Formats: sequence, structure tokens, C-alpha cells
Amino acid sequence: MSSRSRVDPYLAAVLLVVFALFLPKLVLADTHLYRELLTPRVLLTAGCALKICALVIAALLAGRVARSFAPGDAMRTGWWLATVWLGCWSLGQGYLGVYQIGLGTSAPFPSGGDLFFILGYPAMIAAFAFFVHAMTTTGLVGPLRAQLVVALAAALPAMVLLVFVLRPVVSADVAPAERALNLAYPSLDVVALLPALLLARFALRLAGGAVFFVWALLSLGIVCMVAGDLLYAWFSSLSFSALDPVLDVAFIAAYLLVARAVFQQHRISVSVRAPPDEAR
Amino acid sequence: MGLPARQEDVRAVMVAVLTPYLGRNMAQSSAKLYLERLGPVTAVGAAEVEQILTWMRPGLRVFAGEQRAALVLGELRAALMKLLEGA
Repeated sequence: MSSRSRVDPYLAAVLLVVFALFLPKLVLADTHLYRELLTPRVLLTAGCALKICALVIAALLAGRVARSFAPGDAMRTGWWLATVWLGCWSLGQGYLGVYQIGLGTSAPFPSGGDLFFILGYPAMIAAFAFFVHAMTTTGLVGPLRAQLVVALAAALPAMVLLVFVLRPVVSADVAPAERALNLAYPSLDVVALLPALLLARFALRLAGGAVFFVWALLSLGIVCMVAGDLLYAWFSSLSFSALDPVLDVAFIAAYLLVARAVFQQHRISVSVRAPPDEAR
Repeated sequence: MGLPARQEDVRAVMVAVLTPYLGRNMAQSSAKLYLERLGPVTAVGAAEVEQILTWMRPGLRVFAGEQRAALVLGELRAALMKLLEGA
């Protein structure tokens, strides 16, 4: 039985297609390809559909994963909170989908979708806290205090970037609700980043095993999401839209990675008949 | 039941069974942690095997869930008993 880590070929293929669809727009926006074929509406619809699928599947699987842990188990609580987080974000993305898929336009900002996204954040942060707590109680990942210092050091660049990004956001000439959300999203992201980095550190200790991919992909997804939100707040405050394809890729990649992480935990703890090699 | 097995052999079996799930590093840390918890014993018998499995259950449940943990522990018990029978 092989114990080597391997990249999920399906996830890699989907991510490559996403990159290939969105990123060339950075330099080829005025070409026939992006004016006639991959029009803004096509990309908006494709991106939104991918995000909705990833979030809905992740929410459904997270609920099943939660039930695979015993009542009272911290991991069960964590996975239920993750279900709430992903469920809220599914509703938020579904709300945006009414505009992006149904009407073929960008959703207004702020919109009702933001209510669901904001509601999902406390659940996400609490879920991560439960995961970290449960893992430290095993005695296998080292003492929490030592891990926290390293995670704080790792999150420091994001905190510095947050201050840098939020400065123009505070003084931007935008509606109060838009300013509040542009401040809230990156700030909540950085709060979530700390436990996500702890989970990434724990994941490194699990390298080579099926469980590694759960926490590595989840952490990577959160990093992509934080990058997307920080850039979105920054670009939005500067009314700068030329780099929108980067934002699209960051959010789509984030949701796909999170969905794959949840699917991985599902394969391990719910599809128990699958051997560990298949769970990778 | 056979004779007690050497700690090194038990450790090797534990690492082999746990690695596909937890990775080599974590499997080695786990085996080391639980074997050290047994105290200064050089040989491991059936009673020690059961003790190790009991200690491992909560940690394994965190990473793999209730059912998968039971499956892995069953696999580990079978592998360790086979080792004891051959000792």
C-alpha cells in the first residue's frame, strides 16, 4: 500500500480549467475570445455555478461527516458548525446567482447575499476553533501554546496587509454599508486565518496520510479566500476592476478546495468501506 | 496466545497500519507516544496491546470519525495479534 501523497487529478484538472478560462483575460480582455466567446456573462455564469455547486456539496457532505462523530465529540460540533457555515454561504452565493446566472449581471454590493456570508463567518471561525481544540487534546500535535505562537507569526503578514488594505477602505467615498462590509470581510478573514494556519501546521504532521488532505486543502482554501477578500476590498475601494479575473479565480479555487477537503473527510469517516488509498 | 513481542516489532506494525491514514510522521509519533506510555517494558503481550488500542481510540476518532477509527483499530488489533502468535 502506497503512503506517498499524490495530487488529486480531478481537482487539479478543474483548477487548471478555471485558471485557463479566467486568467488570460488579464492580458486578452480586448480580443475576440473574451468579447465574443468568453463574454463577461459566460464567465459570470460559469464562476457562479461552480461556486454554488462547491458550497452546496460541501454543506451536504459536512452534515454527513458531523453525524459520523459521536454525540458530544468536539469534532462533531466542529463539523456541524462547518455545515452551518457552508449552508449560509450556499444561500449567500445562491442569492448572488439570481443576478449572476438569472439576470446575467453582477450582483449589487451590498446585497441580501452578504447577510448570509456574514452570518456564516462566526460558524466558520467557531468550527475551526473546535477542530483545533479536538486535535490538541489527542496529544499528537504538540501543545497549543507553542503552535499558537508559530501561527501568529505566520498570520502576521496578513495582519500587516490588512492594515495596509483597510486604510483606503476607511477613507473611500462609498456608502456606509459598503464600507462596513469592506471592513468586515477582510477583518473576519484574518480572524479565521489564525486557526486555519494552526490546522495547516497540524496537516504537515499528517503528510503522506489520507487525513492530511482534509486539513491541507481546507487551510489552502481559506488562504485563497483571505487573499480574494483582501484584494476585493482593496480594488473595490480604489474602483479598480482590471484584476477582477484574479478575484474570480481566488474565490472559485477557495470554494473548490474547501469542498474537496470536506469530501476527503467524508471518504475517510463516512465511506468507511473505501480503503485509505481510495480516500486520497 | 503466543509470547510477548518485542517493542520494536510492535512499533513497526503500528506504523505500517497507521501510515496510510495518518502519514508516516504522525504514525511514528503515535506509536512512540503509546509505547512509551506503557512504561519500561521491553516485551508487549495481549494485555498491553489492548491497553494501547484503548489509548489510541480517542485520538483516532478525532481524525477519522467513529466508524473508521473502529475499523483501523480492528485492523491494528488483528496485525498485532498475528505478531504475538508468531512471536
